[in-house]
Amino acid sequence: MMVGEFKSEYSSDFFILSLPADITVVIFRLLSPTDICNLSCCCKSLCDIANSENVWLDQCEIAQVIPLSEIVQWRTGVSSYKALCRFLVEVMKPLVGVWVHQEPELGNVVYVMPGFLSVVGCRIIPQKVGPLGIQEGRIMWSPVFEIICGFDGSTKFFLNGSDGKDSCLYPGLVTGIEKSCNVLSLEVEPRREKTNSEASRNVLFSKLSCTDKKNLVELVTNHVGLHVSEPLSVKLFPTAREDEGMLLDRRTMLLKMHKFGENWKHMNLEENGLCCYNPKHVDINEMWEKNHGAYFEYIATEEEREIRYLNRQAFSTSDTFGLSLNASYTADVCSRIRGWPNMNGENFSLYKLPVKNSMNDQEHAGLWGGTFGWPPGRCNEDATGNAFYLLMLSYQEFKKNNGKRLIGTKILEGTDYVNRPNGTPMFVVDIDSPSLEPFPFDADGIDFEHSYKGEGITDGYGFRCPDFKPGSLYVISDDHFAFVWHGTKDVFTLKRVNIEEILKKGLGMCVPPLPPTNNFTYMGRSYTNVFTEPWLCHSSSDSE
Amino acid sequence: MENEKKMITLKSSDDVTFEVEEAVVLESQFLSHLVQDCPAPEHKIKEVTGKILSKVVEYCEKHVVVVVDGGDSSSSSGDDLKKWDDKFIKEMDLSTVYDLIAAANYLNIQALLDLMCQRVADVITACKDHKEIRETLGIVSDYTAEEEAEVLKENEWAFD
Repeated sequence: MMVGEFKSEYSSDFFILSLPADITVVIFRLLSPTDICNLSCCCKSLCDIANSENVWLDQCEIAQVIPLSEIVQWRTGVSSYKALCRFLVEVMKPLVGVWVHQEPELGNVVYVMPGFLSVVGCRIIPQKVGPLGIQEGRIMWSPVFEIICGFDGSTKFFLNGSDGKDSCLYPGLVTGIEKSCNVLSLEVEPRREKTNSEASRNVLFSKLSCTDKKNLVELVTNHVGLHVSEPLSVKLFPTAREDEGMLLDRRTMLLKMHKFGENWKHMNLEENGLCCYNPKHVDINEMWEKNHGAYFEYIATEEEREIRYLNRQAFSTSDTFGLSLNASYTADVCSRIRGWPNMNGENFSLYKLPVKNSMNDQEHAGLWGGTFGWPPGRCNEDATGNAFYLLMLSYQEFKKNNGKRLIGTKILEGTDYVNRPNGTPMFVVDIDSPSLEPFPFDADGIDFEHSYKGEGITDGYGFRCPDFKPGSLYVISDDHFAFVWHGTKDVFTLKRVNIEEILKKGLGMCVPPLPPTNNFTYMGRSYTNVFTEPWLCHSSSDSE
Repeated sequence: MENEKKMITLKSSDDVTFEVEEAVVLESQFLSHLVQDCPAPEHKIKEVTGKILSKVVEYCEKHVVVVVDGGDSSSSSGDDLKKWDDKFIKEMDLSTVYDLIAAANYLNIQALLDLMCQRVADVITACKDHKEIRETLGIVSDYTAEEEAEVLKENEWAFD
């Protein structure tokens, strides 16, 4: 073919088709998954090119959520790179990050990260540091949920939990994940055969009262729960090379459980038979009757009673229900307290911590672990002794002389009883003003790279209104800081923590999950550590 | 002073000739090998028409490292060059873009090839759905209604 002499009707045979493969690859690399899917809907020959493995392997890489080695490893469990890319783009990318909830006050941080052909949510529970300070091997965590990638890139949701004795998995559906989601909600989904009234579905559940929601979740989890033991209950992610076969087996088991429910052990995935395990047939009216809510009846107005009745009734027009997970975007999640989302205590929802893109000169932004005392980890006599803190460091423009401030927002604390609300800054320093205060302790000859002037949190007027006193932040190295309050000479040492790496190395300690109604979000107000208290494993029955 | 620049004549398939400095020719890997291997003053490029070769020459002349009077060598500043590139591709119809991709590939001019691939990608990205792509790129669907419904369903996940 001579260049420049295409027949005028070349268009019926689209140009891309006549290009050498290495050039089509260049063009496809510049396109998004949406563009490529659009192309494949144009005509058959374009569909062939657009569905090729190379094109989608590139797209999996471009998604930048898991390294190439894992992309290749995960391919063994899906039908194509396109299917894998679907999971990465649709599920993994929007969900990975740090999710939080206000309750319990002592800390509710769920770290969402890649597992093995899955996305896993792990709760970092309030805890103490060991005698040697912050050590990777001692991070305690507990499984919250898993979303498994099916062979075709579809999603299978499991809530983790325990029935008081054993670990359980509670299968459900993923009903929707918005690309820019910031609210992750556990819901109960009423399902009507065929007529899938999508629009009203989510509204229905969120309209119910908090107690009704809790009762529904409890009712449904009681029906769908499946007992599991190791490796199903732990082993959420690859911790060593030789794990791969075991992880593939585990995933197959989970896919079976999702499809067949308690009969899974005797089934093959290829069998159709008893599918539609989710949703389950549940008599909801009986439950409404039982949970009459005498207190509510007593205080509510006629109108409130009417609304509740209608909401319940709208919900009970169906008779099958399933657990569902929905990730949506809400614009009014702006922070009331700095760096902390505005939360609705009435929903089973986790909120994503906004993480600013690491711009220039923001090298310290991200997750840090911290503890009081110098040298790090030396036992303190006061209430904060050995408590492990999780801080999100972020930068903020500072109006005064156009500078920048570094803020250390507390998102988790491991004291016995919570001292301050989550989302409050432990310290705020002005990174344009070096501190002239000398480090008040023997620093073993450490040279500090920098020191910044600022202020740190102290007691103020009660729990919600802390005060701030002058202090300095000393940069020992890139991943090691110390903040000193000038007045009291208290020292708070910080170390950068990479939770994903810690969990993947298998260094953390896995703690059994809470009962399912409490394990996604703990809805009761509590100032103590609910995640390690054995008495909490018995299901709570709160009054309204 | 070596102010005397070596000139080379390129001749297209339809016998249009272009006289260019040697530096311009060196932008193309293919031509620089050709010029080194046979030092004739004129080279016929049988695979490229005059219309397309004129675009190639225009691009290479703009992108060649300019030797200014003082003897410092500097290319046109990055921002200016980018603006020029944008204008260069905006004015071009799609069939010229296709021809230039083939020419840049043949003559091995990586930067021009990248630029043209970007243009094709931009055109596709600007389309909101497959129907608009068909219209813009003049593709005739060979799907039956059922097949199309099926392929749309398969790809549903990618559409917002």
